[in-house]
Amino acid sequence: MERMTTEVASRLVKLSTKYGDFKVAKGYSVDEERKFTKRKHVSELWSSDKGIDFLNKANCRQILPCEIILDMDDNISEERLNIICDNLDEYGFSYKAYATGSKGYHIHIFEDELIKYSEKIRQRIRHYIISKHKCDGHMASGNVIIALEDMPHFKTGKVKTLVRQSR
Amino acid sequence: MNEALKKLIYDMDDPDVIDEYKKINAKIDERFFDPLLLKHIHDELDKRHKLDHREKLGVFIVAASGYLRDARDHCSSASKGNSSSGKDNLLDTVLAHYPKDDWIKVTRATTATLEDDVQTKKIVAFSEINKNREFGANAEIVETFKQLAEGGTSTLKKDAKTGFKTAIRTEQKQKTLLYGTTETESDEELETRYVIIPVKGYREKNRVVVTDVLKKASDESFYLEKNKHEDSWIATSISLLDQEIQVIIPFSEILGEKVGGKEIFDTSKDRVKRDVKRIMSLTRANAWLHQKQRKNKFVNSMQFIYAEPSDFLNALRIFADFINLTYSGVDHRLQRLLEYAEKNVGKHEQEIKALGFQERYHGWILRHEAQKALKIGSVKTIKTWIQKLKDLNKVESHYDRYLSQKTVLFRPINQPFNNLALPVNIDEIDRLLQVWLGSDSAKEIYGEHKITPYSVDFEDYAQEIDEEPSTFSQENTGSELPCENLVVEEEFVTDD
Repeated sequence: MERMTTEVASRLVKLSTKYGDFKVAKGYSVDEERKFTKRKHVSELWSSDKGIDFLNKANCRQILPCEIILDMDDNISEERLNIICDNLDEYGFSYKAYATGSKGYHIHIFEDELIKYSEKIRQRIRHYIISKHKCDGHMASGNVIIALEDMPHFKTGKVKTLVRQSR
Repeated sequence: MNEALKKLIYDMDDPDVIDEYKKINAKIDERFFDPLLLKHIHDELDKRHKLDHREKLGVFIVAASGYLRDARDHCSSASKGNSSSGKDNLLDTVLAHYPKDDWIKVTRATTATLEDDVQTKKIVAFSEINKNREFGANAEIVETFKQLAEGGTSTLKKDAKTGFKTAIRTEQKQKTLLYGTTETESDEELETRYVIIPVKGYREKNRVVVTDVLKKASDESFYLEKNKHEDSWIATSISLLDQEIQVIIPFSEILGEKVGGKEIFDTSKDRVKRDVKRIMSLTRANAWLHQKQRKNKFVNSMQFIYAEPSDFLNALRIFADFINLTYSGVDHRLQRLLEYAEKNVGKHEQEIKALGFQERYHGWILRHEAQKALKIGSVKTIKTWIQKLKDLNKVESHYDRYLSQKTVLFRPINQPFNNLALPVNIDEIDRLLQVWLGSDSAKEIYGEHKITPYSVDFEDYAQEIDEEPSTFSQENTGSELPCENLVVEEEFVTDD
């Protein structure tokens, strides 16, 4: 477990070096209720031992500027997931689909070119593709935090696992 | 470029997103690296505005001067011509090839908006300004327009936001202004500030435009092409050119020399001071457009590019006629009438003699013959034009109601002095600059940089108007002379 969390810290630092700084947090549940620690910037955390320790324990991160998340929170089925993924393949997007470890799926679309767009336009692009696939509209905002890939879900303890990726 | 994202963006069909996509993925077109750039630009302009080759390229280069680093280099132009001569289309054609955020074209504006609200625009265009006509279009803004075109504006106004308790100061640097006018009157102050570009209406032009309209009406590909809404490669490239770059004209001092005993810029004329600045600015605009092909140097945090002789020579080839026309102080339509009179002195002698005029009038010009030859549609128009030439002391006229109630004679008044702003032949200047290119100082500037000159060369379609007319209306002449087998087929639209 210790080895895995160290990997998480260096993975988060690598991501922030490549795509710019973003925030992370640790989610936990108290009496079935979702709670989060205060969000902190990776760059800020990386500069102290205490911060690195926080990074190692983080299980949520902010959506990256190069990323679009399709969160299937309604009408969840493997069949629907495959329909969405087939459509993304038709477009030619690079993506990874995960079973969140909770109840649904997250499809992470990575599109480096998105970084060049203003936040306003990025949100419109996200909103369009999210609506097109009838997923959770909140994910259009760049400020939302999501469960970290390959990490145990803070509520169920099940690892967010890759189930399909782009061709 | 990622095709998936591109496909998604075009599926969205959101103009703001598409705009940002285009800005992000914009590239300078390879034609901006080609010495034939001016020809490519001309070919593009030609798709939407037929003929007027020199004129449309002239307005295009004037507009390019609006991008020069030094505001004092921003030139302006006025397109003068009759209504329906194509002034507005010429202006629209040129503007369509500039980034749309950089210009504004209006049919009407107030002085206050001109002073306060065009700060971010590089080019301000007006469809029409008629200063000398009562209730003429935008006549009230002429003074502000003059100031903006030379020196810029500086205003102090009460601030509405603070309940008019405080004042706000607004400063605007010299801007590039473009406008059209139907007026023939000359305003010296306006004309020294603007490059006057005549836009003429003539039969060949009408024929080409009519043919084009008829061809497009039956052509599906025209509508398919139009529906693509593709941005102009010129506009996209211009938006990516370096606007902080400073153009140096390394051979400028050579131009102070005499060629064949004549000065290139005639210093006996007061207004040559403005003209030399204008030609230098237009040379800079030309070089700026060719910045991807010019020698450049970075000195003390400033980027310089070095103009080549072709930048200057092409500026002359395009603008010399316009500047010389402005110099004469005569509108191009009046100039045409004057030139006709000068060419035809003595040619109407037989008819004048037959009408019984005294011998001293035998070498004069018959007004109705001039009207017929120049295809001027109404007597009122030619009367007005002759009166304007008389006011300018360019012609005199004679009328004898006892001999003929409708026959009017006129003749040019000899003005032997040279009235050209640029009295030296361009080929001679070219030779002078070729010699300079071989000098050590030129080699020091350009080094190994390869110079590939290109010279603009257009057929002068305007000469079509000098052809003998095939049709004419007797009713329009106001003459008692017989005009046999004449049919009304065309008429100039005039504004009087």
